[in-house]
Amino acid sequence: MTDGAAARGQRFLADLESATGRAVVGAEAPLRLLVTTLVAGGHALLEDVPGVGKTLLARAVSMALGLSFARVQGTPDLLPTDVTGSSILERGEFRFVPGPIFANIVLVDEINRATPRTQSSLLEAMQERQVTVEGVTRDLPEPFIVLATQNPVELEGTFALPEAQLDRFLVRIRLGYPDEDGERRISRRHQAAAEPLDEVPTVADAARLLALREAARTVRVASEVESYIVALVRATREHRDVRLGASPRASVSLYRTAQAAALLAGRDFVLPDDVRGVAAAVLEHRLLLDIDRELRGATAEGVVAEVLDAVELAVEPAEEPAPIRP
Amino acid sequence: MTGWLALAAALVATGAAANAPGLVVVAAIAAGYATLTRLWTRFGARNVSYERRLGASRAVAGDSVALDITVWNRKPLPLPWIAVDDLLTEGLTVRERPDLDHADERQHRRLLRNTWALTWFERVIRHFHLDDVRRGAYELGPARLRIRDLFGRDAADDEVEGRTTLTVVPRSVPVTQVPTDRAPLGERRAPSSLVADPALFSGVRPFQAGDGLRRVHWRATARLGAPVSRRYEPARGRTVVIAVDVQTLDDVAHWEMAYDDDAFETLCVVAASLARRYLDDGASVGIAAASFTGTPQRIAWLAPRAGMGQVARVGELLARIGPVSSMPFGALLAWLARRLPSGATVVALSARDARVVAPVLRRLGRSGFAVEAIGVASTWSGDALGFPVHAAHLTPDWQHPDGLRLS
Amino acid sequence: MVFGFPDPEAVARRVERDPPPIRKGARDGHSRLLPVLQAIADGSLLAVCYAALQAALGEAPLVGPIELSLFAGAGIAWARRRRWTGPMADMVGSIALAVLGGALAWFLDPAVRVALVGGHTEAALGLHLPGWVGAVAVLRGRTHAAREDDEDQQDRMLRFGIPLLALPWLVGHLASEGGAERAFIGTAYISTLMFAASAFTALGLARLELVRRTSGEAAGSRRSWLLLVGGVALGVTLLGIPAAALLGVPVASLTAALVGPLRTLLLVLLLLSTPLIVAVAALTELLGPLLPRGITIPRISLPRLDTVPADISSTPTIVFFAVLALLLVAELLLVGLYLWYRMQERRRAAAAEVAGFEERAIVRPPDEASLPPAPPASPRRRFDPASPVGAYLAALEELAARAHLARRASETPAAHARRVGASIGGPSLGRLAAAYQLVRYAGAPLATRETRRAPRRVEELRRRIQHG
Repeated sequence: MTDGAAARGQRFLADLESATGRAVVGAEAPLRLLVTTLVAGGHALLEDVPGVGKTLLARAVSMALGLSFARVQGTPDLLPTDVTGSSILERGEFRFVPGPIFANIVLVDEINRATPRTQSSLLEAMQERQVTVEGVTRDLPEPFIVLATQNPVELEGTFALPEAQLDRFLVRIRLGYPDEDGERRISRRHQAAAEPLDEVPTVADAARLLALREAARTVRVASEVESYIVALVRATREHRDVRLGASPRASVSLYRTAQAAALLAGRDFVLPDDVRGVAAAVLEHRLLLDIDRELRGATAEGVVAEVLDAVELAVEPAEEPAPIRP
Repeated sequence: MTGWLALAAALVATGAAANAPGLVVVAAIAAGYATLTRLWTRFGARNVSYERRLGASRAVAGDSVALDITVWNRKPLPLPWIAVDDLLTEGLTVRERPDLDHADERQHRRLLRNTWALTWFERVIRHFHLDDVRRGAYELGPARLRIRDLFGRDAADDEVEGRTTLTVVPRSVPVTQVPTDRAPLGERRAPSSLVADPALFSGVRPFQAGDGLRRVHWRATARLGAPVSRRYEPARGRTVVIAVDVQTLDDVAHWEMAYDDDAFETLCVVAASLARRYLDDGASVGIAAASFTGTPQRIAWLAPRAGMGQVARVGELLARIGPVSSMPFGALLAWLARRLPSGATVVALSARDARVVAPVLRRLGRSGFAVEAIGVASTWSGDALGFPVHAAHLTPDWQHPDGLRLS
Repeated sequence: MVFGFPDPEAVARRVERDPPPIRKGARDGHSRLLPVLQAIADGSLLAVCYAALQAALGEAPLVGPIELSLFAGAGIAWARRRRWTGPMADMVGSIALAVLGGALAWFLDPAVRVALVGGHTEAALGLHLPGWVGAVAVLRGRTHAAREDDEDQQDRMLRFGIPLLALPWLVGHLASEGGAERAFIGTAYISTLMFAASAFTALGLARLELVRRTSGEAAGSRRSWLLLVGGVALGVTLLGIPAAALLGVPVASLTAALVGPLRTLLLVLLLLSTPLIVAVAALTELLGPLLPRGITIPRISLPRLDTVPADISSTPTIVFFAVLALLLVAELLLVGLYLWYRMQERRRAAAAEVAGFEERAIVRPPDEASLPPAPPASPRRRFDPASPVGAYLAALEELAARAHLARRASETPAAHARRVGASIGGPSLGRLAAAYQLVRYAGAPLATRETRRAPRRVEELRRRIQHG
C-alpha cells in the first residue's frame, strides 16, 4: 500500500464529512464510524430512539456517495419477495422485477418490525451478497451496503433480531442526542432549508469507494496488534456477565474495521488506538449476556468497557532491544 | 457576626476611655470568635465534593448492594464538622445504620446521615451495604450538606442535586408443575386462529374480494388463467401476556389503600418466574397490571416480545408496580382484549378468590383468547370455572424462594 | 497478554470483614469532658464577678476560678445524679449542697480560719462574701441538670457571658486602685481566659453531643475536630501571656492568681489526707516503744488549720512528707493505669470500627488517586535510548516511579503520551511514542536524524518529571 492511498482515505472522509455536514449536525462520531464501515465493506445497524436522525444520516451518506439508494420500511406484512423482488406476468410472460435489495445502499427502516422470515432473507443477502429468487441466483451490485435502523425503546409489534443475525452487522452505531449547540444548529438548518438533504452534494462514487476498500485490506496490522484484537475478543468470552461472547467472526470484523479506521486516519498501519476506537461498535451487539447478570444491571457496554480496561497491551518486545546491564 | 464585631469595637473604645485594659481582652475574645466563625461561613462550603456510588443500578430482591459515599474537602481550610443527609426511599436497609431517621420534609424517605471532620484536602470514603433489598424502584438523593464552624455553629449549607436510582427486580425461580403429565402452561391454544403468518406459505386459493395485490400469486394465476391468492398457515408463535391482578383482598374496592403485602410480593415473584419460563420456551411474553409506575399511565404494560432480553424488561416493570390498583382487574382485561392479537394466551395471576375474577376471564375466553388462571391463594385448582386454573406455591416463602410449584 | 476482572469473591470477603454497625446512644469519652468544661466556664465567670466585688471593697479576692469551678462542678454532678426520692429530696439536697459549698468557700478564707481557731466566731461570720459566691457556684451548676439543654445553655453562656464580662471589668477598674486593683486584674485576667477557652470548647462539644444524639453517630473519628478545639484553648492560653504583658497586667498579680488556687488545693488535699495522717501518727506512737534502743521515729504533728497553706512546710516532719509523697505516687499511679487502660480500650474500639468501613486519604486536586496505582515495581532495567523502541521504554521506566504518570497496562502509547503531556507538558513523550509506533506497528525504519534525537528526548522528559 502506498502513502497515496492513506492520503486518499483521509480525503475521502473529509469530503464525506463536509458533504453530509450540510444536512446532519452533531453526529460527527457516528458519521465517522459509518464511513469506516463502508470502507471496511460491512453493514451497519443504526440503533437509537426516534428522532435523533438515523434515517437522515443514512440518506445523507448515500447521497454524498452518489450510489443508488433504496428504502424499505420494516412492517409485519413485509414479505421476503417485497425485498428481493418477484416475477410478474406481463403480456403472457413472467418478468422479474428486482426488489429494493438491488440498490447499492439499502436503508431498512425499523428492521425489527419485519417478520423473522423477512429479516432472515434480508440478512442472508447481506452475508452472501446474492439472492435466490424463484430458483435463480442473482448477484447484488457492488458496493452493496445495508443500513438498518431500529428503535430499542418501542417494542410493541416488533421481532427482535436473533443474535446470530445481529452478528452479520459489522457495527452497531448509536447516535445519541446532540449537545445543546448541535441542537440549536439543527433548528437553524431546518429554518434555512425546507429539506436539508437537498443541500447534500455528491462527492464520491462507487469506484472511489471500492478502491478504498481494496486499499484498506492492505493496511498493515502488526503482530502485537493482531494479538491485541484476539485477546479483546477472547476476553469477552471469559467475562462473568457474558453467556455467549464474541465469535471468531467478531475478530475478523474488528480487524477489518480497525484497518479501515487507520486508512481514514491517513495511516497505512493500524494502531491499538484504532482497535480501541471501534471495539465498542463492533463487539457490543455480538454479546449475549447472562440473564441473571443482566437482571443485576450488567450491560454489553459495561462488558466491553471492562474488557478494554482489563486487557493488557504489551509494549516491551520479547527479544529486542536487550536490556543493558548496569 | 457584625454584632460581635460592633461589640468588640465598643469594648475597645470603652476600655480606652476608662483606662481599663481588661475590656480589651474581652473585645479580643469577641472579635476572635467573630473572625473564626466568618472564616467557615464564607469558605466552608467551597470546594467540597460529595459522591454517592452504588455497586449496581439494578439488583434482584434479596441481594446485597454496595453503596460507597465519598466526601472530599478540596481546599486547605479544615472542616471541623461536615454533615451530609442523604435521602433514601423507604424500604432500604443499610447494614451499618440499622435505624434510619425519617426525613421531616419528604414523605416515604429516610435519612442516611453521615458526619465527618476533615482536615485539609482530606477525602473519606465510607462503604455501606444495602442488605436484603426488597423489590421496588428506589431513589437515593438529593443530599443536603451542612458545615459547622470550629464552635459547632451552622456556617454553611448546600444541596447536592444528583440522584442515584436502584431498581430491584423480583427474584425468578424455576417452575415445576404437578402433575407433570399435564400440558405445560401457556401451550393451550386459542379456539380459533384468526391470524395468518405471511412467512408460512401453504398454498393458493381463489382470489377473493379484498385480497391485496401483494397477496396475488402471479405465477399460479398465469398458470391457471384465473386469479389466485396465497394461503398462509396460522401464526405459530406463542404470545403470552401475564395479567397481574394487583388487588390482593377480596372484599375491598380497587381504589382503597388496603392490601396484603405478602400476597402482592408473592404475585410479583410468581409473575417473574412464569415470564422467565415462557421466554425460555421461546414464547413472546408481555405483562400488564392495573398499577401506576411513577408515570401518569394507569396501566403498567409491557408489549409481548421474545428473547431472554425480555426477562430484564419484565423484571423492571414488576419492580415498579405497587399494590394499589389504578382500575378494576376487569377493566384491565377489557383493555387487553382490544390490544392483543387474537389467539394470544392471557395468563391471569391473582391472589383473590378465583370466583371473583372468573366472569371477566370467561368473557375474555369467548373473545378468542386462550385463558389460564393462576392463583397464589391455596384454594385455586381445577377446570370447574370454564378455564384451567392453577394454584401457585412458592417454596419456602416469597422472601427467600427457591422454587415455584404449580398444581 | 493477560486480563482479569474484579473478583466477586474478593468483594464478598470484604463484606465479611465489615464492622458491626455503630450503636446509637454510644457515648464518647469527650462527652464526659463537657460537664468539666461547663463547670470551669461557670466558675471562671463567677470568679471575675467576685473579683470585681472584692476590688470594689478594696480587698484582694480570696477564692479564684479553680475553687469556684470545683463548686460548680459539684453542683453539676449533683444535678445530673440519679434522682433519689423525687423533687423534694432533690431540692433539699441542692440547698444542703449549696450550704456546704458556701461553708467550704467561707472556710477557705485564711482570715476566717484564724478567727475560728481564735474562737472569734462572730468575726468569722462577718467575712461571708466568698461563702455566698461558693453557694452561687454550686447552684449555678444545677442549671446544667439536663444534658439535652447543653447546647442551648452554652450558646446562651457565650452570647451573654462575653458582653457581661465587660461589666465586672469596668467596675473592677473604676472602683479599685493600688494592690487591690492589681489583685483584681490578675484574677480577672486568668478567669477571663479560662472562661473563653472553656466556654468555646464546651459549646463545640455540646453541639457535637447534640449531633451524636440525633444522628446516632459516634464521634471517635473526629479527633481532628477535637484537636482544633483543643488548639483554640491552647491558643487562648498561649496568646494570653504576651497579651497580658501588652495590656500591662502585672506578672505578680498573675502569679498570685495562679498560685493562690494551687495553695488552696494543697490545703484541701491536706484536709482530705488528715485521716491517713492520723493513722500514721498513731502507728508511729504504737511502734515507737517496740523499736530497738537507739532507733527513734520523729513525732508527727498535725497541720494547724489556723495557718495559711504557705506555712505548712515548716510544720510537718520528714516522715509526714514521705507518707504524703507515697500517697501521691499511689494516686498518680492509679490514675495513670486507668488512663492507659482507657486509651488501649479506645484504640481497640476505634480500630474495630474504622477498618474496612472507612478509608481516609489526603488527596490534593487534581485527583491523582482516582488513577489506578502504578504497576508493581519490577527489577530496574535500563533500556538503550539510542534506538526508538529503547528510548520509549526508557521513558516509560522513568515515568513508572510516579503513580499518576505511569502507563496503565491497558493504555495505548498514544493515549498515555496525551495524558502525560497534559500533566507535565512538553512534547517529548508524544514524539517518543510516535517513533515507537512507527517502528513497532508500521514496521517502518526511522530516519537517522529522528533516531539521534531519541536520547535527547528521554533526557528532556526526565528533566520535566523532576521539575514538574
